[in-house]
Amino acid sequence: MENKALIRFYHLLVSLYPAGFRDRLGEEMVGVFAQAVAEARQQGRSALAHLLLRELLTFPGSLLLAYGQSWRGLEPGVLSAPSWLWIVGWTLLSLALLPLAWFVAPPLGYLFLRLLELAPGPDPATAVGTVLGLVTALGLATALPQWLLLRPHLSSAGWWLPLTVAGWLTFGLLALLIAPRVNSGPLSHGGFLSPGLAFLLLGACVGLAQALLLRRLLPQGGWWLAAWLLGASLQLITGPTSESITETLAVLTLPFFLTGAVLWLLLQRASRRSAGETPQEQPAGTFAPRSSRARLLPLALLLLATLVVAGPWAYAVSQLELAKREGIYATREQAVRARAAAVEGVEVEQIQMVGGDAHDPDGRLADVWFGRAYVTYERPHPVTGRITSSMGRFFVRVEGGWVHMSDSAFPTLVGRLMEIYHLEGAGKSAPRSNLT
Amino acid sequence: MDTHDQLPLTESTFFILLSLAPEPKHGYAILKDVEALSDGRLILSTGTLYGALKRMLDGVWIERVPDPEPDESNRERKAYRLTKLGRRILEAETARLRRLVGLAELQSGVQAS
Repeated sequence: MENKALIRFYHLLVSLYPAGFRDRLGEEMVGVFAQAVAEARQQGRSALAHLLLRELLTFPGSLLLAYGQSWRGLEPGVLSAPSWLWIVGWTLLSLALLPLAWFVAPPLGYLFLRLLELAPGPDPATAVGTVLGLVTALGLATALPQWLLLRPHLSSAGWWLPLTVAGWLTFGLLALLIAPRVNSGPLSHGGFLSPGLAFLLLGACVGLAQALLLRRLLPQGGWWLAAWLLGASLQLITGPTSESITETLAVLTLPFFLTGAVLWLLLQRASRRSAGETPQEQPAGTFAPRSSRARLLPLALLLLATLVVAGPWAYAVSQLELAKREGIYATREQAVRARAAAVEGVEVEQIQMVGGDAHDPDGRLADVWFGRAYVTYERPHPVTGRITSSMGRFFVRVEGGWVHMSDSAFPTLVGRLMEIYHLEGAGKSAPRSNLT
Repeated sequence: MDTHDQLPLTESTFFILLSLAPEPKHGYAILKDVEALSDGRLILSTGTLYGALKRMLDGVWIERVPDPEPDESNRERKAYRLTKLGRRILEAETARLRRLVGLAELQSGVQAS
């Protein structure tokens, strides 16, 4: 790699440092690195490799220390007050990326599982990884647009991202700890926490994490936690379930609207207060990440292209890995019987498999199948009151057999991705559209 | 500020202060000097060096001054100079280390060469 490319790469690394740090010392760091590279190159490849390895290995630690210093030195800093339209933007954009979280969650969940497996102790259940992946994805999906909205108005807004994700992760961990202890009664819902309890816990965790930042940057920033708790408790008013789409939207929108309005008020007050004070002299910034944006554009495009290609691949691989952890069965029929036994605890009387697509009408090569199991209960089912039932589930062919994949994982999409990326299976994906 | 509250120093902090004791130096010169002073045992990365420099600047142990040897590449460069506080801290750490060595010699009967 040429010196210029190495220096550009190091410039990118330095741009990850906290703003105060890189504005003061960033340009100088790049200069020292450039000198070190030039000298190491004269000494030979080995010296250059040692230098690069040293810089890369110490980079995460240096970055963490720099952020630790930056956190300790945080001071109130409102850059400008937003207009009232900002509340609308906050509410809508906080929700805008939530659907994307569904697709980001499985790869993150799989990563969590692999990390947890490295720790000593019993094997973690797949559900632990799934929940932690989902809350991290939801945290990122809400924090990213909120951070973009906060940046023009609040200094050190970069802390918003890690703190929000930390808040969501804390919520996920607490929910996993609490859920088994409230597995019956009004606090439980479908094996997890009731929506009211879950929202309150979420409000407390995320609100507290974000309040840690806001109370340092804004006068009376501690009110943020109260706003979150109030917003989250709206779930209790609307009831334990959200059956209509209007109700669901209201449940999701109102907390963000309320917290957005409180944050807008806090920013207005802080802005008025700082306008009455003598403006502080800002240290002249020497590091110029903004001017380097044009140079970083090809890198950003490359990253985007990688995400577009690697994102769906990571989604399919992680969904397959998560499904495999629940069990691999030699045949589709065995998989259907095992699933029915696990869910209903009854023997299966008859199985109907539906599979294949236009290129494979008889379904012999299809990797994704819809299996329907017909069961008869000893006594009428407590919910439906019926003595017989049929349950349909998706099953996917992997190396070594068949796995069950829940509807929420979009198995047909996974099948298409398996075809595109030549993953597992035999290379054909979807079942017929008429699944009856 | 009581200088003893800052002790003991980490090895890298001690060597950086030691490097700046005779005269102000810019970042790269400190990097090379620390390597030489430690007989090649301590090679700082740029990130580690500037993390330490930032902490010392914040604590007013050192200050930035115009570089007496400007860079050929015209890249903006500053030199670092020990403040009175920084020098007192270095002296206190040196005295602490001297006491430790003295104690070790006394206990083991081994004289440092």
